[in-house]
Amino acid sequence: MTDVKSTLVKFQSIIALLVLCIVLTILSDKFFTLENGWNIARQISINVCISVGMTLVILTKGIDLSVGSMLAFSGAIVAGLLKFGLEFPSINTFVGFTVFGAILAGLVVGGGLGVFNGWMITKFKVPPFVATLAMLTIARGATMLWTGGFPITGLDDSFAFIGTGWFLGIPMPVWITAIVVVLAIILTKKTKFGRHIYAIGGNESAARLSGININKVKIWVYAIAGILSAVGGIILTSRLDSAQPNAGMSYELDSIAAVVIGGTSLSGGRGSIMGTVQGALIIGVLNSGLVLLNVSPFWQQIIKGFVILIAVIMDRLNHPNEN
Amino acid sequence: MNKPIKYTIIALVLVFSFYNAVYIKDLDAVKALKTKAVFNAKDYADDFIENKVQNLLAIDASSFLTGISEDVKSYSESKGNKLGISDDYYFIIDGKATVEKIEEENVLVTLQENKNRKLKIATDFIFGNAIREGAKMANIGDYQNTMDYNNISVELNNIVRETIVSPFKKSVKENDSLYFKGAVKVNVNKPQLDNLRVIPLILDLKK
Repeated sequence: MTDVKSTLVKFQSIIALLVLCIVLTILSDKFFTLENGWNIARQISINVCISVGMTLVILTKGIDLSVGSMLAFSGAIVAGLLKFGLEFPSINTFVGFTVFGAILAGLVVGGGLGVFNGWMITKFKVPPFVATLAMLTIARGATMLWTGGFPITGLDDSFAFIGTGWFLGIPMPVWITAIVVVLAIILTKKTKFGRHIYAIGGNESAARLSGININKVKIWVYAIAGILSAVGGIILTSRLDSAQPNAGMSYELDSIAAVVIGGTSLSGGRGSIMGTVQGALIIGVLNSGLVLLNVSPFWQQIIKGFVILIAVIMDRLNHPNEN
Repeated sequence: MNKPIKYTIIALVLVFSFYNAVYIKDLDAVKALKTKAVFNAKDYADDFIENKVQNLLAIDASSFLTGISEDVKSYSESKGNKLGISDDYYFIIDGKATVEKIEEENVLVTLQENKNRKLKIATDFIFGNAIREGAKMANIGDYQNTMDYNNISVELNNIVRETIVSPFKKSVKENDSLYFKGAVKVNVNKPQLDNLRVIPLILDLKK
């Protein structure tokens, strides 16, 4: 009996996903189609990217509320550099950016903002909630400043391929997300750095006493979360062929939801990247199904909220002794 | 790996990345090129009104009203033009009419071909976007930013107001005959066919 229970607990996300798919297939004839499958895959790709970063952060017992704003700022940086470049009137010089250059700049900006988050949290002991909340508004303000409050549209065609193109019959965002997921799995399961992340989340004092450089690991974790937000921003900007100043609003909530539904403990130290992918899939399938069933957007939010609550309650019931 | 090799590889990667990431140009030359490429909505709208309106294909107003009242949706889909996923369809229509009444915001006309058919010629609120969409003179996908696209509508609005509506309002009287050509908007979900307003492109009074 215990074996059955532990198996059910282990695969609860997959079981929930399967049940959801079966119910939606019965209720809507448009759900179980290849086209809708690709739609869901494309839609969740951005959430998966930022949720992978969020998983690493939450595994260290942290939280990152700024992923949506960092996504918007990085996307705006890429679009702005690609379209307008940089002007230096004092030396009569124009620096133009190739697609590769603009993407690189976006990733550097995302990583830089993440490093800043990590630095605030480790150096000044600002609680992650507060430090990343501050970054949420800073990055959003910076996005508004950079874009002037207007969308930056009409970007390079080769850049649009990232968000809208297909390679070997699979959409490009799905390829990018798959690479991110594989790298993150290797990072968490097969490297010393990954073991340090779990150790810090499990028991920070013990990790410190065992010689792990806590601050360095945390800064890297927030930097990775920033870089992955930038990846999400690049995909979104490319897909829309424009950088919207209000892009990524409330993405942090979807991201935290995916992580929690995927079974990662908000207390840190327990969880997995694949769990998060399943969590993002559940949210994506739920979103798609509710739209196909013509459920009002207001009800959709309420339903999503309850799904998150149920996931957390089940997690608490399965791990009653955890703080 | 010893340090010199490590740093050399890092330096080479950075140089390679930078070389492929950016290109440097003379700022004045870039600005000159940009100025040349700037879209001028006023010139575009002027050119349209001066050179293209006369030959612009239009549906006869009487047959338009007959067709649209039979089946709004299919008629709109086959003859009209819409922007994106909107329910508003735009048409260019023309015809001969008699002025029945001069109102504050419109001039009510009766079609000469069919006295039961009436239309309103807009003389106060001019919506350039109806002309832009009806005439299919611009495709939003061709514009690098939506502002350029919207500016066409703004400029059309100004030109129509100043050069077409203003002289018309000064000289129009009840019972005047006129030839008109203009744009009409029809919402397929709420058609309101009794209250159609024509945004004028040509108003030719025959006293």
